[in-house]
Amino acid sequence: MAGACGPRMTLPTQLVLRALLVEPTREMYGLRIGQAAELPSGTVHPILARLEGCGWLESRWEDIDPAKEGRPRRRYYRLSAEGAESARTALARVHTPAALVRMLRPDLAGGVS
Amino acid sequence: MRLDGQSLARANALATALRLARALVRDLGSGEVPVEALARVNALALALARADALNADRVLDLDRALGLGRGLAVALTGALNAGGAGDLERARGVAVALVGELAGVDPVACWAREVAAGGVWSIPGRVPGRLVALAVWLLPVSERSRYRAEFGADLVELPCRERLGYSVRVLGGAWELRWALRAAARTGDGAAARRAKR
Repeated sequence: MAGACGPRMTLPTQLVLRALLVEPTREMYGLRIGQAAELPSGTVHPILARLEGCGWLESRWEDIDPAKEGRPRRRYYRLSAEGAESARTALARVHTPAALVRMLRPDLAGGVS
Repeated sequence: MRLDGQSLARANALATALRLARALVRDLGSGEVPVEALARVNALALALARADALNADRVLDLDRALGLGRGLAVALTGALNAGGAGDLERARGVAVALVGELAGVDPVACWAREVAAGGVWSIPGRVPGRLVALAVWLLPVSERSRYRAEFGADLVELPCRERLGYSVRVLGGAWELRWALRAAARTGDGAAARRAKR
């Protein structure tokens, strides 16, 4: 279903997608995604929900025993195969000047080509 | 912010309950019910009751933990009487769920973990916990438990000084998240309806 709808490509959404596309198969939880995208903590969940709703992201609960780990389970997110493709296409089309992204996140600016 | 006397006592009681619940998980994993398990389950019930008595202002939602504590006592009694492996496994399952409840729900986890570690005595839960709880309350009912757990896991991981900012931003984005979740549900419903028509 990826690509059936497209999220609004706001700058934070672009930053999240670029962060995820650095390693598309890697699973990350919300806090780490926010850190990777250099967005303030607590702001990425609406973006993740939209991307998940579009089928670009998949999520699952971490498979651990909280008793052994001494911490709660995390919710892990990963780009779906189609979502990664859609994200690359959408980022390539987006009108945000590359210079702006390079200025904000020089490390991510070239990560999606 | 500093813990006041009541919050400190409540956090200590919860830390004790968490420690005892973890010990019970270990006890019950050994394949038999050791003698200490009975003493532990009694002490656990006392610790939970104390935490509940110190929670008269309902800052924390302890209902599920209290229910699991009662369920653990019943399950353990069943395991002792019947002595079957299934009963023992059931009791262990309740103990694991109780550990998850105590360690996985903010702000309990923050308080309990820090108290248990003898660490920083700030209050991660009182204000951030309420803000996150309010944010979760704004979400569709079907999504609340997921995001309660997700935000709780984030809060536990964050340093104390960042928790308030995190919770403020979560609350600030709650309407946007609600909108995104409802939109996703509509899309899902629409897709399901289309599939059903085919």
